Amino acid sequence: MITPKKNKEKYKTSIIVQLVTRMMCPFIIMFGVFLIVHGHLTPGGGFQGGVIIGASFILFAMAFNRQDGRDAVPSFTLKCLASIGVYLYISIGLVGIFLGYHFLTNKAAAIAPMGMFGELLSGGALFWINLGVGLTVAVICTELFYVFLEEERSPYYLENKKKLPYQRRWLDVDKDDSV
Amino acid sequence: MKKFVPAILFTVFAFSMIVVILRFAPIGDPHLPGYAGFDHSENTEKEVWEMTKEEVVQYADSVALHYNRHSPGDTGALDIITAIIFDYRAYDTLIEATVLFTAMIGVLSIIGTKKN
Repeated sequence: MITPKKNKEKYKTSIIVQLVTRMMCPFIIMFGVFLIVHGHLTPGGGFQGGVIIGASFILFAMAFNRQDGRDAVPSFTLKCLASIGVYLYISIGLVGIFLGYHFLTNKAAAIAPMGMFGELLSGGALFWINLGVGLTVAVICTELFYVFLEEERSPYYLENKKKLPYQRRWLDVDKDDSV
Repeated sequence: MKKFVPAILFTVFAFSMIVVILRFAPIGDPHLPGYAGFDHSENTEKEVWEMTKEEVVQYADSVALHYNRHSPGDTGALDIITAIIFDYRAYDTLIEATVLFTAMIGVLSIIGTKKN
C-alpha cells in the first residue's frame, strides 16, 4: 500500500480515520489472503477473500482520496491481473485435457501435488483455483469501484453537471480535481 | 412460410417440454437420488424395503451422503463446500468468475476511463 503523500491538506476525513485506516489496511489484506490460501481448509475461499481484499482498497480510497488510491492500483494493472486470474483458472482446466483427462480434472490428473490431507499445500488444483478466483474477485471489486467513481469525470457528466438531479458530495471528488 | 416454420418449432419444443414436466418425479419423494439413493454395487441381494434400519444407514448413498463420505478422498480438501464448488461443480465456479470478468468488461466498455 502506498503511503499517501500528496494533497495532504485536502483530506476531508479526520486524522483518526486516516490513522486507523493506515493501521488496518495491511491486516485486512492479510486476512483476505489467509481466507484465499486456506480456501480448501476453512470456510471461505476465493470469492470471500477476494471481496475482503477489494474492501481494503475501497476503505483506503474513502479514508484518503480517490487519486491516492488510484495511484496504488492503476487501471492497467488491475485489468491485467483480472485477466491473469481468469486465465489461471482456465489453464488449470486445460492442463487436465493435455494430460489426457477431462477438463478441470483434479485428483486423477495430479496437476498439483495432493499433499498431506489437511495441510496448506494439499487438495491439488483447488489451491491454485482459489488463488485465481481470489485474484479475479479482488481486482474486479477494486476496479469497478474506481470506474464508477471516475464516471463523474466523463464528458456527459461535465456537460450536464448542472442538469443532473442530484449532487454527489462524497469523497471530495469535485473539489479535489479541477474537472 | 416464415411464420409457419417458427410455429412448428414452437409447437414441437413446447410439447416436448410439457411432456417432460408431466413426467417429473413427484416432489419430496424419498427415493429420489438427491434425497436417498442406495449403493447397489455393494449390496445387491436385498432391496431397500427388505433392509433393516442399520443396513439402510450403512448402504444409503444419496448425493449429500456421497459428498459427506467421499469428498476428502476424491478431492483432498478438508472443507466440503470448497470440494463441491471448486471440484465437483468446477464448471459452475468457472462461469461465475467469467461472469464477474464480463461485468467488468461491460462496465469499462460503457463508462470507460481516461488513461490512468
